[in-house]
Amino acid sequence: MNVFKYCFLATMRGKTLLFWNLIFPIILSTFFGLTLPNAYKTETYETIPIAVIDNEAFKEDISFRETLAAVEHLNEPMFKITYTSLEEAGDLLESKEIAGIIEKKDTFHIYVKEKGIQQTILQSFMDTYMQTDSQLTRLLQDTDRNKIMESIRADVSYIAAERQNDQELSSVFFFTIIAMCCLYGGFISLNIIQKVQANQSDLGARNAVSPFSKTKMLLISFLISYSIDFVILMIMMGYITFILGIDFGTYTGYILLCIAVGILAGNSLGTLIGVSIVKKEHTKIAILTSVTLFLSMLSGMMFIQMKYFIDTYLPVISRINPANMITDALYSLYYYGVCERYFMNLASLLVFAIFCYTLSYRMIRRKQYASI
Amino acid sequence: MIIQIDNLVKRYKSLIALDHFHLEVEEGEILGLLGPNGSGKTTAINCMLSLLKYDKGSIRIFGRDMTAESYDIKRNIGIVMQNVAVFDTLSVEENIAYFCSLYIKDRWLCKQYVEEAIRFVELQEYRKFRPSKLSGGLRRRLNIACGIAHKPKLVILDEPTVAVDPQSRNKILEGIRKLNQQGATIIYTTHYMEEVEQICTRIVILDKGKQIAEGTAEQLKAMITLKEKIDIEQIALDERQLQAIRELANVFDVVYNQSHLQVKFTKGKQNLMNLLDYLKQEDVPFGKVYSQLPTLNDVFLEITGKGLRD
Repeated sequence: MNVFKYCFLATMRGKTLLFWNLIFPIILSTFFGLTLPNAYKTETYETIPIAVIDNEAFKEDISFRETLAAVEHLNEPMFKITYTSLEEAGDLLESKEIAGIIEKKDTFHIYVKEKGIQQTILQSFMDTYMQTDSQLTRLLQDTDRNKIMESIRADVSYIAAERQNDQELSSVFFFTIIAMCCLYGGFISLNIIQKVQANQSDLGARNAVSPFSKTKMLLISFLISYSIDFVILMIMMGYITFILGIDFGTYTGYILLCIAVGILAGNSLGTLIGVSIVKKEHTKIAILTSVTLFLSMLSGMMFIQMKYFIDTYLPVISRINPANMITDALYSLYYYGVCERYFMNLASLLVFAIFCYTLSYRMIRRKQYASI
Repeated sequence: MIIQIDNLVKRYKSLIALDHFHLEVEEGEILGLLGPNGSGKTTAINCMLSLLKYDKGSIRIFGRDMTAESYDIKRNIGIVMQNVAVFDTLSVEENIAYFCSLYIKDRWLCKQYVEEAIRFVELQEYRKFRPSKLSGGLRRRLNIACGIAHKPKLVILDEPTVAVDPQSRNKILEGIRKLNQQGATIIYTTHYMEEVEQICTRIVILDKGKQIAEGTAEQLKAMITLKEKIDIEQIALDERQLQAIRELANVFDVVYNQSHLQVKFTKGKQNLMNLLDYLKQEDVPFGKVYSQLPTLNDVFLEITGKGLRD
């Protein structure tokens, strides 16, 4: 108990850790909380003008035609559609009267001229439609068609939904901050592991020559880092929810479960960096900070389009990025409730954590070193 | 026998850090491991503690083979590292309590031992201080307290007085003697020969990972040719006079450089008298005169051809 108590105290009093784990995320979330609603206040949702090439392939695709006509947002059609020829559509695009063109040949082609939220929504809609097209064909045989169509409309509406109100948009950014906080938990595991490994620090060597078993020491280290991380995340959630007034939805239990698993991933990442790099602690902290910020950026922390871009064009990165897994789990919970996507993200996080812990354990289990 | 090391070989790639190193330590000894930086002292300690893998040889402590899992052996060893290894975020008292609790499960006994350790290193008035608020000497004393609080039978101190002021150094040496009087066997590594002469009952001299000599300070000094060294300042001599000095009884080496004369003698009586008589006879004026008995540095110099601090 004494060992736990003093290890806990030593960790809790670390100012660097306190800054990166609590103060920095609070500053960042306060900044987001103050600036984001204003930044998007001027933007309201408008129906997106697009052109669809009225060719034979399009006319034959009844399913697509009906979906396109039916998709709406806030009881307004999502798209204002002009059915025309490719030439005329090109002119409309050139004169910026439309955001993009959809042409159906053997497959769908989307033409846009600029980058913006309207283009992103159009792209999102089409990507989702195409991804589920084959499933739709199969499912149509034994399922109510209208339900399928509804699910597609719900699925593609997430970027549009972000325009619905400022708070919902802000929530997405705050999901990324929560993800970042979970990963920042790695600072604590990194710090503690540094003090357990004889080849990493003098304190590590001193611990290693004691009769206190390494397994017990590692278990204590894990419990301490995990519990401190969890408390910090609860403080962060409290701050974001009650002070900044951001709504995380109604699935509190599932949010906590996501955070619990997210911390495990962050903890494992910190442990892996801690044991695999034999450098001074501040160097490792710099590495972990950079890695975490980069992963958070890819998950949409700095701009939400990044998440969409990575999800669409580099899905492998999304699947191995723990920050994205946490963000996406919270995101799916917020927009779609408890769904398969949420559990898939949690499972991916667990796999990530197990992978990092396994690699770390292979290095940690050594009790003697070739050099220290 | 507390420690028995046979034929220990430790290589760092092509560098041989310990070259068939032997060491035996009897109960109650204060053994000084003396050698220049890089001679293998710390490597020997780390191998002894099973922190480092070694290539060849055997290490037995308290009559049993020492391994990384030898927790019963480790329970009776106290280690004071070369660098101060404490938590900066814990107070003096908390640091000692943490390290003591790694060895002692009983909370009340641990508390009692912590109090004793604080008194032992005389840090009572600093018990609530964080290490960063302590001077270098006080931090060293805290480092020692953390290593010995659990009352080990064997205490290994790896250069505990590096960068410490003379007052703190004396306190530390005094403490080591006290520990020994309380029954602990001590291994003390340093490159300060004065400290070794002051406290060690036996000395092992290491160079390039090898034990090059061992014995008490007197025994080691008796091993070398040099028995007396006389230095004379501000003296002017010509070659004839220098040659005459070289031919004096028991002289085996004369160095004359920039008005400074150093004459080395083998064992013999009245060496100083003979030298001064000759200078008087030649009517040579001179400044200060020093006569010194050989030091451990002279022992090291004569055996290896270089000084301990080279």
